[in-house]
Amino acid sequence: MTANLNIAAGLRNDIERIERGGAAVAAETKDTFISAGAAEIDKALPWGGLPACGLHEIFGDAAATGFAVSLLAQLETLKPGAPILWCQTGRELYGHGLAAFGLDPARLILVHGRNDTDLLWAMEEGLAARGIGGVVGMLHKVPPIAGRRLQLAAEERGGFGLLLRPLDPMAGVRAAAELAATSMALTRWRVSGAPSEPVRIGGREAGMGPLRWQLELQRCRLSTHNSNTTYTGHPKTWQVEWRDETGDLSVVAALRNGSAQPAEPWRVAS
Amino acid sequence: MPLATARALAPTISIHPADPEADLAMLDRLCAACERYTPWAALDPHGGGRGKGAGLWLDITGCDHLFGGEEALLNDVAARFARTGFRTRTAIAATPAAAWALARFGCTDRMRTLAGNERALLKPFPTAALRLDADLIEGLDRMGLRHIEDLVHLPRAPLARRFGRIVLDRLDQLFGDIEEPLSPRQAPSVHVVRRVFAEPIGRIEDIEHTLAALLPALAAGLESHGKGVRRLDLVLHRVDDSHATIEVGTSRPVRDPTHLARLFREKLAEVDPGFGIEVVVLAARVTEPLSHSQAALDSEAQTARADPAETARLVDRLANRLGPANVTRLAAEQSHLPERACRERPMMAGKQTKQTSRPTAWDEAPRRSPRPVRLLGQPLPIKVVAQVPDGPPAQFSWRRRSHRVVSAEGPERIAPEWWMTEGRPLTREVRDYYRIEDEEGRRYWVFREGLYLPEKAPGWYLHGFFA
Repeated sequence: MTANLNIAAGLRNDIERIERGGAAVAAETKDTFISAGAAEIDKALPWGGLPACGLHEIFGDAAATGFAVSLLAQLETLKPGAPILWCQTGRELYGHGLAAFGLDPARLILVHGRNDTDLLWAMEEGLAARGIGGVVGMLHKVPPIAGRRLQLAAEERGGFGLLLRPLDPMAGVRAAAELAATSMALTRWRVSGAPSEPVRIGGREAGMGPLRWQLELQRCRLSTHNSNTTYTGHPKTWQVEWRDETGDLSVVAALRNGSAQPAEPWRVAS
Repeated sequence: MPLATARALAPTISIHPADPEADLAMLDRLCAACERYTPWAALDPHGGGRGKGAGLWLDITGCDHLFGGEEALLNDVAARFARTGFRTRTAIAATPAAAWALARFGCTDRMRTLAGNERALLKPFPTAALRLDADLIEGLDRMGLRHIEDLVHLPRAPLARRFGRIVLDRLDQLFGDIEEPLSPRQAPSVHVVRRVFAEPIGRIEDIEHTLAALLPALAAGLESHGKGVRRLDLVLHRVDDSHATIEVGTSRPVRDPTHLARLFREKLAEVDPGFGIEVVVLAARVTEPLSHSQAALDSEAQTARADPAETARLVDRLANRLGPANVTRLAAEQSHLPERACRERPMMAGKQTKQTSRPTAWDEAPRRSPRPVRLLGQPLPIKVVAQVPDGPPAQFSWRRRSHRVVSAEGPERIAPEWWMTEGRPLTREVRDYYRIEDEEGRRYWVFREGLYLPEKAPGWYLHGFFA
């Protein structure tokens, strides 16, 4: 009986190794993580940072773009000079705005597809290619199989993939359904703008304050060497402010429904 | 003959309006089909400009033996065209002009001159065989000069004075005393490989195998010349004389067969082999110098580092599937107008060195004031409540939703570029840009075009979104 169990465990390990050969090895090395922007947020993540080989999902509008760009800018230290593939249908990305988040726009390769199929194909090609720093895709719909393919491609080659999911305010129901849907991404964030604190000089308002976002970590999936477990907890929410000088985020206030509770450890989902 | 007369004579005739463009397109297709005989196939759309019926010119120098001699080649041409429903008049001669004349005025459908008998053969031909304008022929006719032999013996100087040099030129071209160049339909490529099949092939896999065999041969030829390919055509000649061309482009000169095969593989799936493919031609249309480069000794060490060649290969694959205009990079330009300051440029530029204007570093770009991460290509008109004359918006509505402005910063005045002469100016009015934040913390970039005037209120536009 014990022998059988041992064999089963051995086989399970083998499958695990085959399925995520590169990732398991890569995940063990320390330097394949990037900071989410602030130490408090990194601490809340089970890895102590965002894994640089894997797929992450960010819901939101322009604020999500800003957050994504700030993450991509951090990749520069891991993969210096590596180009970044940015796949989307529109042509609205503005270089000067990206440069403000520390990302050199010259590193971007923009890919415009006619439809989501084209974009998913381009993303997979980018994740499979050597020497590409990161791949961003702005997609309204990600079929589960396509999401899984992207995640596997990212793990296999150690690529950093970001799925930007715009939220259409008109289609609130659909957005809710999308949010509830499972995905293969390692983390899922929802980023929205937050009212900023105006700069005051002598009690008088003297201009707009730094950018503020509400960052919501909705889900994260931890895959380690010998287990593949989904960790869930209460979605954590932070209100962060963008600091231009240091190019990172500072947590302004913890919100009531989120991390104001004593930092609750991630627990295994049943 | 007027249409009414024609109808009176034969009431059952069917009438089609003339379509010269379609005729030309058809002729072009026929010409392409004739490239199986020689790479130097030229169109003659207007019958030498004299309305004598369109034709094709094939320079078969050094090609005829591949088809078993001139006679056999003529038979093959006639048979192939007959199969597709065309009746042909063909002729082989030492000069294009002589072939033109023989094909149109010869006594049989298949004419061929033998070395030395051209003059004798062509002398009894009418002057119309010289490709001259109708009024010139009429003039010659009035003088009693009806055949080529009448002209040959005349003194040249008076002839030229009376009818112009053209008559003499045509005569000389006819007998090969002066050269007549033919412009081929497509510039013949130095780097061409082809394979002819005894049995037509029809499966995509077979085409892929052929490609896999042809590409190394092409690469070897390119390597000996120190060239790489920027544009490559794969031409598949079908049994029914139609052909399909698959074109791939690359962002930098390439001669790696595996990479090129991969570029073709994407497009091969869309090919219709029809009744089968007889001839496969692979031709490098655009080549550029490509020197040898040292591959990394340690391929593993390369994975982490940026590899420009690998990136170029990825760009090629993306651009060949999605179109060259859809794979771009951002370029900063020296302009105050936001939509001009950042442009998208295709990665697959025609020439890598071509730069219309000096590229600007992103650091030089306006750092004075923040710029949005997303800029709308076309500013959207919005309804705004604002203080007159130059207050920031207090409220605006966009997408049928009203947004209350909590805080605002501005104005940043951007004047039109009156010194720009090329193209139409983007704006004639000054724009006052404001950065505004609504109650939900979203930040917008809006501008007012123009100033408040008693007779006309200025327009407000939404131009971008801050992160």
